[in-house]
Amino acid sequence: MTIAMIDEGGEFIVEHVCLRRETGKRLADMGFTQGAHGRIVRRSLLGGPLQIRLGDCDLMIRASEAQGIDVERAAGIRQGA
Amino acid sequence: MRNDDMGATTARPLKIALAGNPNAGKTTIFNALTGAHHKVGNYPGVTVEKREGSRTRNGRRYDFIDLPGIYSLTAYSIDEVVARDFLLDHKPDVIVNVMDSTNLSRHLYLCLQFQELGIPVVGALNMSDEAAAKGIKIDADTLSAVLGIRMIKTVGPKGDGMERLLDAVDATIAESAAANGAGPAKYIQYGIEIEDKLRKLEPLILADPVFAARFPARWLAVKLIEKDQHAFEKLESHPDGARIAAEARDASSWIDNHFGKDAEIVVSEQRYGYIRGAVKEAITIERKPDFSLTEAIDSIVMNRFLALPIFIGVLWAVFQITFALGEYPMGWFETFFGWLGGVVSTALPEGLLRSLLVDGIIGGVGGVFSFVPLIVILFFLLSLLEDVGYMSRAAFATDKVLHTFGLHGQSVFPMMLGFGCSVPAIMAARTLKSPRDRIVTILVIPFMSCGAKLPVHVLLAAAFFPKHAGNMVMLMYAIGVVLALLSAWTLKKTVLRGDATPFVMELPPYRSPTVSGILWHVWEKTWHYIQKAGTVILASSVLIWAITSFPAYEPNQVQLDSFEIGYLADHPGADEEAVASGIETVIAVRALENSIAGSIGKFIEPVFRPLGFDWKVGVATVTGFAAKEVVVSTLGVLYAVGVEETEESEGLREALRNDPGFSPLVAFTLMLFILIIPPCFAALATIRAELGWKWLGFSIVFMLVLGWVLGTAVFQIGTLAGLA
Repeated sequence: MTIAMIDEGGEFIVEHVCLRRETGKRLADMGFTQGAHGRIVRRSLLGGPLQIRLGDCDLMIRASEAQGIDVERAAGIRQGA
Repeated sequence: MRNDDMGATTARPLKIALAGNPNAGKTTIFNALTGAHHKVGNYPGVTVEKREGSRTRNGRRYDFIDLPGIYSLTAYSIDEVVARDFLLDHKPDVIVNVMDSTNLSRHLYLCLQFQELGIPVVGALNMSDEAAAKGIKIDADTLSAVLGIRMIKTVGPKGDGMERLLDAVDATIAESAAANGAGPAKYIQYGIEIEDKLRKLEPLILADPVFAARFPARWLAVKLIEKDQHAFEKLESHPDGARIAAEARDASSWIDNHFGKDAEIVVSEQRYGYIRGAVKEAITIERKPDFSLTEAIDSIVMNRFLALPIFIGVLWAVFQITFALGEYPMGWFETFFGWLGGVVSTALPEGLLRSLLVDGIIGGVGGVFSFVPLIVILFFLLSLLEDVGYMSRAAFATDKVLHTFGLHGQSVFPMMLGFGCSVPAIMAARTLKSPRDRIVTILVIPFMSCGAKLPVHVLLAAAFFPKHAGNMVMLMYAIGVVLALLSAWTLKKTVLRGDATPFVMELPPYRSPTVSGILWHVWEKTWHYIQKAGTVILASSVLIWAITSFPAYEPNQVQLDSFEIGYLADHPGADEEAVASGIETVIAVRALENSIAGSIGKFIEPVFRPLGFDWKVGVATVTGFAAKEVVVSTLGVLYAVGVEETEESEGLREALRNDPGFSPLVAFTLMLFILIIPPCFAALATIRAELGWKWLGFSIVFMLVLGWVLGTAVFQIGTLAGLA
C-alpha cells in the first residue's frame, strides 16, 4: 500500500520509495527511507498536499508523491525519532 | 597550546563556510558571529545571494561566507550546485555546519556529506534551548566522538556558544594541519557492498593527482554511484574519465540489482542507518511534551476547511493594515517632496535646469518614494508572517489551487509581495527551487496589481463609476490574480512544459520572530526598491521629463492672442488672473502635444484606436513606463487641469468625464490595459537581472499582446453591446 492510502492520523513504516530520479532521491534525502516511521498528520481538501510527520519533522508532500511511497501500516506505535 | 604552534599561519585570515539546512537558524548564527559587519552580493553568474562577514579574535581574522540553505549535496537545485561548487572550488579552511538540535537526524545527513568532502567540519548544535525544552537530551561529546566532528551547542538569537564554536574551529584547523591534509579520521560507512565498489573507484580517481587535488576521491566516487549528472561532467577533465565513468555505471547497476532498488536510494538509506546508530548513542529523549503550541495552532490554521479562508482573511488583513497605516507617512512624504520642489523652484531661475530638477527628478523620484512607507509596512507584515512560519502554511493551503494552474505553493509569497512592488517580488521568487516554477512565477508577478497602479485605478473608477469605485478597484485586483493564474497555466502548457517538480517542503514549527531578523528582512526588500528608485526610476524620470519637454514650445504673440480669445470665448467675463492661468494651461497642453511624447502618442494612436484610446491616453501610457502612477499626472497635464493632479482631485475626474472620447467603457478598458501591459522600467530591469534578456523580451511581448488583445476585445464587444 502507499502513503496515499493511509488515513489521517494513521501511522506507517516506509518500505520503499518507487519514484525515480529527482523526486525519489529528494524524498530519500528528506528521510523517506526503508524503516523510517511516520504519521499522516493532515490531509487537505480535494487531494491537495499531505502533512506528514517523519521522525521529529513535519513535511508536506503532494498526493502524486504520496502514491509513490510504499509503506506498511504501523498502528499503535507512538514514538518519535 | 596547539593554537600557539599555529603562530606561523595565523597571519592568513581563516576562510569559514557557514552551511546547513534551511530553517536551521544559520542567519542568526551568522549575525551572532559577524555582528553588523557583512556585505551582501551574488554568487557569480547566478542569482543566489551571497553574504560575507568577518570577525577578529585573539589577533586572528575569521572570514565567514554564508552558503545557501540546502538539504543535501545533490545537484538538483541552483542552491545545491552553488554550495557544492563553492566548497569544491574555494576549499574553505572549515565548514561550520549549523544544525537544528530538535531534528538532528536529518541535519546530520548533510553534515556527513560535508565530512566526505574532506574539508574539516565543525557542528553547531543550534536551537539547543528548544531541544532541551522538548526533552531531547544531546550528549555533544559522545556525538563528537562517534562522528569525528566537534559538536558545540549554540543558541543563535542569544549568541550563546559562539566563543566555544570558534575555539572548536581553531582546534579543528590545528588538528587538520597536524594531520597534513590526510582528511578526517572517520567517514560515514556505506556497508560492505557499496564500500567494496568505492574501494575500486577511488584508486582510479586518485591516479591523476591534479584531478584528485580538485575533487575529493571518496566523495566523487559516492556521487558517481549516486548517478549524479554533475559528477559525471566533472569526470570529463580526468585523463581516464571514460573508464571511471563506465566502472561507476557498472557499480551502480550492480547495486540496483543487488538491493532491488536504485543505488542513489540505497546510499541515502545507508546514511540514515549510520545516523540512527550515532543518534542512539548520543541522544536520549527524556519525555515528550504533552502539549505542542504549534500543533494547537495548526489544528485551526491548517484545518482542511479553514485553511484557505484563513489565508484569504490574513491577506485581507495585511492590506487593510497596510493602507490604513500607510496613509499618514505617505502624506508626509508627499508634503516633503512638494515642499522640496517649492524650495528649489524659488531658489532657481525659471528655465530648463529648474524644470529638470522640479518636474523631472523631484517629481518623478518623489512620487515613487512616497510609496516607500506603504511598501515598508507591507513588507514588515509579510516578513512577520514569514518569520513566524505562516508562509509555509500558506503554501500548504494554496498549493492545490496554484499547482492546478502550473504554479507552486511557494509562489504565494512572491505573488503577495507583488501587490506592493514587483521589484522585490521578482527577487523573492528566488526561493523557488525549480527553474521553471521560478520563471513562471516571475512572469506572472506583474499581473499582481502593484501599489503604483492603484492611483490609476482609483482615478478612473472614481471618475466613471462613482457609486462602485471601491468594487471596481477590487475587481481590477481580482482580474489581475485570474490573469496571473491563467497565464501561468498557459505558459506551463506551452513554452515551459515539463514534468511537475516535487513538492517536498518542510513545515517548521512556529517560532517567535526576532526584531533584528524582521528588520533585516524589511530593510533588505525596501533597499532593493530604493535602489531601483534611485537608479532606474531616476533615469526614466529624466527620460520622461525630456520627451515631454522637448522640443521646447515657445508660442508667438499671434498664438498667445488666439489662446486669450479662445479662453474668453469659453469663459466670458473672466478676470485678468483667470485669463492668465487659462492661457498658461493652454500652453502646457500645446507644449505636451508638440513634444516628443506627444508625437509618440499620435504616432501610436492608430494602434490604440481599437481599444477606444486617443493620443492623450497613448502619451499617458508611454510616460507610465517610468512608474505607473505617472499616468495620472500626465493625464492631469493633458486635460489641462494642471500638473498638480492626483487621483483624488475632482478637477481631473470632471475633465475626463467631459471628454466625449471617454466613457465608462473606455475607462474600464484603460484600467484593464494599465493592469496588463508591461510594468515600469524598474520592474523590467529586475526581470532582466533575474532571468536575462531573452525572458525579458518574451515577457514584454507577452504582456503587450495580451493587454492589447484583451483591451480590444473588451472595447469592441462593449461597443457592440451598446455600452459605449
